[in-house]
Amino acid sequence: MTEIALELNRVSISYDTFNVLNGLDLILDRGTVTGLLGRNGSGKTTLIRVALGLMQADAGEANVFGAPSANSPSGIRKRIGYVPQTFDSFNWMKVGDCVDFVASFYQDDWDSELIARLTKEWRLDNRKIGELSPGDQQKVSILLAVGHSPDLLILDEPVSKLDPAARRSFLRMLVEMNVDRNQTILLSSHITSDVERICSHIAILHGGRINCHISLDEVKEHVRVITVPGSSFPHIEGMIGGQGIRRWVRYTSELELPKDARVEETTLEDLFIGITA
Amino acid sequence: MFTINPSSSVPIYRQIVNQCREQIASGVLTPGDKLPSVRAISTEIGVNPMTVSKAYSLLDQTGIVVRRRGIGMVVTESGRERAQIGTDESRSLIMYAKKVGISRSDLIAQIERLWEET
Repeated sequence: MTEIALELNRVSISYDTFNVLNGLDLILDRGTVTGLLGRNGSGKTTLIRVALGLMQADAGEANVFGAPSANSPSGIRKRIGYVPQTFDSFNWMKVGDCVDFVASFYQDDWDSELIARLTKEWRLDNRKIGELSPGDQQKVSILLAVGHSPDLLILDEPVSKLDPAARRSFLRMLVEMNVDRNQTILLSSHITSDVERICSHIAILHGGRINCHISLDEVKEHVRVITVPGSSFPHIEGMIGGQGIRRWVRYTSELELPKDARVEETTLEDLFIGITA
Repeated sequence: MFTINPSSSVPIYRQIVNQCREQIASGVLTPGDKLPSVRAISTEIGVNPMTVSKAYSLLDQTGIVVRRRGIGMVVTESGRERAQIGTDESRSLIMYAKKVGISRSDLIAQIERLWEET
């Protein structure tokens, strides 16, 4: 049986009267690489913070490797790596000192070779973290999250500030970790082409729930846009989302469609826009 | 070795299968040649390793390459012949269908109908 890395069960959380997550379910199997997609303000960061136990949900539960996120034992915490959207810790420390400091918590579990290689590849100067550009700060944040080779790596828009060369090298590193250690990865990103490259699955967050959790091959092979002219869209099996005369559907040739229906292939970007419109 | 367009409507594993077939069909890769490992391909072109595994399994199923224990994927003796059969014709048919707007499912249905008649 596949091990479950992360499980969110009926998670709800609200800020004042606004329901950010509304009975959200998400299960990540070990070894999957999932792109978390959602519009600005859809609750991606909240989902990640609840998953990590940094935030308590109003209702529902979050488990990592079978233990509740909110008070998981240190043995499980050690298996998690997290790259936050903004990194503003250790500003007074130099990059090297900071890496050594974090490494000291993990001792033999710290992959100094990997960190040395990435530091060189990403041309990170050994300056005070507070003096680095936002992109270089993001690189430090990534180093601190991956040095202990976590089994579950959660990244909140990790590439948003990286230059194209660093981004490529970072994506390669993720693939390496996934292939060498069967690492489970959840990353939120707005760059759909990156997601299409390195992810095995996508999860689209909209209206407080994951309303599409699907493998990327399935998106391309079985998801189609169906257009039916007219004011009322007929009921079609396997509907994923969409509005008006265009709907995204898990398509099979057995599907019964109205005569004037048009079936077209879709792209991840179109699916995203269609579902979150 | 492969050029991937992640945003194409063709799944990445299909792109890898097609390009592999092409290279074997055209003789760039010859019988006995070894394909790079899943790890090498996925880290080199930066794609999910499961995608590459899937492509290799499909190629294995067609008999163009064979999985050899301890060595990896190797182009078979009949690989070139197998890779060539129908590929070009099918491809031009598909290109034609796309150009004039025949849907994938309609094309498949049409082939199935003609198959019975021929």
